[in-house]
Amino acid sequence: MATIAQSGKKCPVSFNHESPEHAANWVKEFDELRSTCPVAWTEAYGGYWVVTGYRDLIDVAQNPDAFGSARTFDPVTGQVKTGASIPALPGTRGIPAETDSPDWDAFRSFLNRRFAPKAVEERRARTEQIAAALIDRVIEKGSFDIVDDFTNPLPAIATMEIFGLPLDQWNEYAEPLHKMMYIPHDKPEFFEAAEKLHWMRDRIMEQIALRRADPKDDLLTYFANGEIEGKKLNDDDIWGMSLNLLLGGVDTTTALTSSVLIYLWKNPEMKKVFLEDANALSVAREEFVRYFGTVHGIGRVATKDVEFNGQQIDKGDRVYLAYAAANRDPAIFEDADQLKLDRFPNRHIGFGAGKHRCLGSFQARMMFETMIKEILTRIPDYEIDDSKLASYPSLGVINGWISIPATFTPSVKVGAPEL
Amino acid sequence: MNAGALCLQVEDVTRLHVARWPHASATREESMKVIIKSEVCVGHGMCVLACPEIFSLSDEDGHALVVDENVPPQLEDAVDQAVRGCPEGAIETA
Repeated sequence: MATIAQSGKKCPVSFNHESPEHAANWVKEFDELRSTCPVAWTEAYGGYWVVTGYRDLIDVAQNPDAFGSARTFDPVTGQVKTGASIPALPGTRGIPAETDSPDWDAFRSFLNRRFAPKAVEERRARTEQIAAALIDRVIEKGSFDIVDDFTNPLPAIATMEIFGLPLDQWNEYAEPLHKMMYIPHDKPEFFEAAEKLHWMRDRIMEQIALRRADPKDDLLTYFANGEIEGKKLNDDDIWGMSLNLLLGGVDTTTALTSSVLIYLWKNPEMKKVFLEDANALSVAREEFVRYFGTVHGIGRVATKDVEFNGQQIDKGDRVYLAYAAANRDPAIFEDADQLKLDRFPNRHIGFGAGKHRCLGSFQARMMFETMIKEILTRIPDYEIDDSKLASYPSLGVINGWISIPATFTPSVKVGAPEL
Repeated sequence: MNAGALCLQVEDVTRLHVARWPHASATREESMKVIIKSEVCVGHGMCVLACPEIFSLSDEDGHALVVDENVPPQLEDAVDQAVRGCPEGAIETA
């Protein structure tokens, strides 16, 4: 890896996307960077470029030959060097997010069909049942935590069902994945949560062995018995894909939906609109994705020396693609810092850009719509206790909420099948 | 009688045609055409939101497909929104 020379990097800035200062002030920080140093260098975490302009970000995303995504390790220390996040999360590579071509092509192709719009639509009815069952658990109490009781479990359960994992263990997966997204990486609680990945891997491998003997119609069977280019998948690749799907699926839609439910509490006139006008909800959904910047940013590494928007980027340099910043670029979005629920067309890149565009974007949209409709139907008068609202102290990967306590008028169960 | 006096000149026919259908091109009437550059499309799906009559998403990978490359006049605005709504710049019209 190229030694990072401080003197060689233009536009040095003091910036750390994981800092509490950034979490508290990200819109302004990004606006300033974008207007003064759209490709800026920071020394945090060993140094990385920060790209905040929409067109620059598209250029990088559309140029995977120069800006790669593969997870790499220091040949001497074995420490992870590059990956989808900066700093990279510990562990094996997430597949396909942390792969480059030619690996990427085969893996992405292998997974595409299961997350394409048609496959997702076929899961909508069941997802609605999951939502109904989760609300049935709290509906008579008159109080719940929007995150812990609803927006966190639903995507976790839905994802586990896609896998074919036992549902009663959903929180064993969801809780550590949730914590890994907001606890700073130097805290012991982060490592405790990250340790749980070993347990998840063991459970998945157990199920894989079972599926080889007794195939079902689930993703684990597909992993156990499927082939890529004529070869069965090895355990590392199965775990890599599983990890990617868990990390991608479990906290992201949670964060978006949580943010929107807070918004609707403050803007209740939109509740009726969303319940009655599917198109208005679809259009607004995309604006919410743009505005909230749920996935804050993703990492790349320069795989060759490249001159980019006036900067000399050296092979080995990390690059932070600030998706949340690009989504507020005034050169692209009129009144970029305003939430405009009828904004259309809306060329946001909240689901990423280029070939690594979120595999789960259709699944995310479907789960989001399901959750919004369930709340607006069953618990339309929820009141949030904003003295207890807790957002993530660190936004580097996901801009989300730890906890959203709420009360409502108790009502009756609909008798959805128990999870 | 001179044959030329009975024949309308091409320019006359064109003038009458354009007067009746103002959006028609001067030489021929043709609908807007739309294509998706498949090597650029990654499946954001904004085009379908803009104009589901013209665009659909593949069952295989969620990438966009053109249902009919001929865009009727009443859908031209929607297709234009699709063009402007594609983050990758994958849609072209002619």
